[in-house]
Amino acid sequence: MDSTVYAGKRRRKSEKRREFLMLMKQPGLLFAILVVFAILILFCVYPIVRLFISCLTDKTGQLNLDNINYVFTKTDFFKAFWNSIKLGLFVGLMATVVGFIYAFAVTRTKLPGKKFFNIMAILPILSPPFVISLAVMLLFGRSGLITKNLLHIRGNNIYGFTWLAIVQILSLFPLAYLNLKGMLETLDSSVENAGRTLGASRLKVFLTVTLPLSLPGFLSSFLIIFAKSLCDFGNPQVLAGDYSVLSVSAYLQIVGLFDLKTGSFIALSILLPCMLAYLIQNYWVSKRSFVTVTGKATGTVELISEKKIVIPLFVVLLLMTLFTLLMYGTVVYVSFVKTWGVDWSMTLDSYQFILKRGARAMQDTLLLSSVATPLSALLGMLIAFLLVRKNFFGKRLMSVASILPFAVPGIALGIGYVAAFNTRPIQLTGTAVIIIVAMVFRTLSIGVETGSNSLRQVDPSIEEASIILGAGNAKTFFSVSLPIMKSALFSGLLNSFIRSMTSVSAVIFLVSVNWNLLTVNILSEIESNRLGAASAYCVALMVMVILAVGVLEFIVNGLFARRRRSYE
Amino acid sequence: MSEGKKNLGAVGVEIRDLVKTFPAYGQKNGEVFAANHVSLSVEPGEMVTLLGPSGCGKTTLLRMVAGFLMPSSGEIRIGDREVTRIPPNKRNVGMMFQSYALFPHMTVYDNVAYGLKLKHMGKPEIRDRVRAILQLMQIEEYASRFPNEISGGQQQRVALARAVVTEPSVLLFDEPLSNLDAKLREYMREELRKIQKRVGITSLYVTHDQSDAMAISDKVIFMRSGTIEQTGTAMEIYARPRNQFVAGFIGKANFVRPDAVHSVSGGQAEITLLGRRMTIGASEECGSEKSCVVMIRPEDVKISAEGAFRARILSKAYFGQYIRHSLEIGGCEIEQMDFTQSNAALQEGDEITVSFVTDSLRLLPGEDKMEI
Repeated sequence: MDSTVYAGKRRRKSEKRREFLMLMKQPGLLFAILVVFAILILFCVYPIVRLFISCLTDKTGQLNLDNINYVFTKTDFFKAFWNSIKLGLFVGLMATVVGFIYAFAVTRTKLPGKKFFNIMAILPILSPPFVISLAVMLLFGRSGLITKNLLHIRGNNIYGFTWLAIVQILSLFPLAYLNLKGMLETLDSSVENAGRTLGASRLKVFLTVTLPLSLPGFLSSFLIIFAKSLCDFGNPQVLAGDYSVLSVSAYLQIVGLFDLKTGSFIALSILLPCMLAYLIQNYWVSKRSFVTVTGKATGTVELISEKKIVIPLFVVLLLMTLFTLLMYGTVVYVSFVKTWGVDWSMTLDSYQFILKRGARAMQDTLLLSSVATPLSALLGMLIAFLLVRKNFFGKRLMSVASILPFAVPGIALGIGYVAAFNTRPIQLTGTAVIIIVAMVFRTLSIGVETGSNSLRQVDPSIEEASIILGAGNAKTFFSVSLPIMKSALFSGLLNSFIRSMTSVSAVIFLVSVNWNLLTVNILSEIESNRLGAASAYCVALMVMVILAVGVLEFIVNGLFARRRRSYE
Repeated sequence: MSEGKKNLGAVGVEIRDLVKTFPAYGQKNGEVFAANHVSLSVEPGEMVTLLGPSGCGKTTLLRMVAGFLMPSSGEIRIGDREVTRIPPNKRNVGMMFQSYALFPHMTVYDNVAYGLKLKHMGKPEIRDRVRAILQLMQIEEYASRFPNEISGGQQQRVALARAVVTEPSVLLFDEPLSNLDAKLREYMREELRKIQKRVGITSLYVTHDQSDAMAISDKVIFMRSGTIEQTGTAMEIYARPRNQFVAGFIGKANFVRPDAVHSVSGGQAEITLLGRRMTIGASEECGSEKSCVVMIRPEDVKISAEGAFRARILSKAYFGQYIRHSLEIGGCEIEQMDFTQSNAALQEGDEITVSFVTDSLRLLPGEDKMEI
């Protein structure tokens, strides 16, 4: 027995060696793997490591824990920590419930206006993070349209847990909705049908079949939103007020008190629960999913049409949607009003203002995002290709490294970039490069994720066919895999672009006099209480995003269109 | 190309002592042999089938020849070139995939031209070659269609055209017919064989379907659990299977335990079967001490008035070319196929007499359990 085990070990070792030799014979592939590794380590792993190091050492580079001691005793760290956790738990739970109601209504009932509700639910993902916060200020704030003008409440205080939670739920529930919708759609509906044929009532089927089978999706949505809430910087910065949370504390330490070390440590402390949530989600919950993709069309669910179920759902969705529309409408409206709450006359003053003050920022945002997006999507697709289709040493590391910048809080990533790249040999702070790089790696996992998913659905023998016909790995990637991944590429590009355009926390420490971004401008306008200008910026940003969707669609379709020629 | 042209450039394939192991599931350091010291050779221009139940390692073997899998040890030669460590795109082999694996974003023409373009061939030459092969496959009119716009049989032809147009030294088939319905399947395998013969290309064909294997190959290699059980022509394997497993996999067979085995020597065995003493063929591996069974093919049971064995009809079913009777003979249930149609009047429960074609009976090493 022992000798066969030994022989097995030895054989596997020689196999590893042969695989390695095979890799050496494919210099292109080897080169790609090495380059990807180098890039990932430099821009994904190193900044986080630097962040750790800078927290634990003093100026001379010696291990020094005074800094941590200071944070624990002299700041309101623990209060902020528990506040963040409480907020995350509450928002995670509520947003998941709302997302589930949405997803259930769309996938399991004969609800009128499904397409419309679907688009409205996704809207908050596509828009800049401040829009809802801004609208809440405009409608319910001290001089809010509803609170002051309609209800005549003076000095209504929106700053604190309640409205922060409401805004986060509104902006984060789409994630739960998309996740749970995907799950409900792929859940083998014949199980539910079986429940019905066995004589169970709708409620019984829902409680005993649909809900238990949805639990993994529920849990994963909860964890994702919990982490997102914790990492969120934009909304708390605007609305948290006295309710201190970690991301804002970190920011204030650095911007207000110029204390990079304390800020770093607080940012890192968000990382811990965030990473924990991601890890549980990735390695535990996702393995317990009941979703089975067989590639076979299973029976369709009998959609619920009973009025007593559909009508309440419809009303709930409609109210949510109207509320969302009210938010966006308010922001658009405000951008055209002279002075909100005082002078309601229509004017283009706000736009003139932002054109004068923010033209540079708009150009920069567009330019930097346009450079970052294709880089991020292409690198993402390449990594997806390597991870799904190739075997090499360190695959797991590559996968984790590519997710890292997405999983860590943006504020931590931003600080990490500052810590890592503000001295020689790689001095990037103040340049456009550092912003582009932050955008590329912050959005990288989107490309990796969408690319991997679409590659997994493509029969690998299509690529093998290309290889056996004599194509190398690069040729196969560009002329077979990439065109097949077209729609994934499109959604990857789109997603990356939107994220780049609307990112705040990761880039707020990276902007400079030379390179400024729209989102940072919006934040400073809100802080200076120039809400009209902030609204105009938001509208401009949304218009740019919508235009970009059209342009991207045009480019991707033109680039990889199926060409039919005549061969005469 | 003229009919029956022998490809003078054809080369053979030689596999020597090939081992491929995979880690066994749930066992640390345990391993499963997908190929356990396999050696075989394919002569130039020959069509060889790797046949066996699923999980026997035949596809793994094919993928090692293609270069998609690295053998754990051993050697693969194509012609006089050792290719074991050469990546698949440099091996000059062609392959037909189970799923056809046509490029969905390219037309039929571009699919076929793909390999030629990679060889940096001139445009006019590519056009001539593609047109010639599409003509040969009778699919020229679909040149500008996309794969999802043509039928399964046509996709099959495109896949074959794409695989042979580059004139690879070996053509590998990975169960290319398994997605077709029965009728088309039969037609396509005739076509495949015709084209393979016409092009004269050395081919290795993987299938778990015995009729595919029998219909198209010069030589059948029967595999099981990573090892080669038997090699030979379809006829040899059908008539003289090495053991009960092979016999049961290729064609139908009844297996009856003999009352006694008196002697086994020189490929002959002296036995007592169902109370009668007889001499039949025997596998070399049958010693008298081994538990052996007698293989009786259903078509070797003849219903005749002079038959020496008394039988009762348990059930009958009509299949057109033949009638299948399930018979009870001396306490054993034996299946019989009657191609004569002269016994159509027999009914369930009838008492009859039957004889065996003793030349075709064979004593084989038995299995503890059949796993088909």
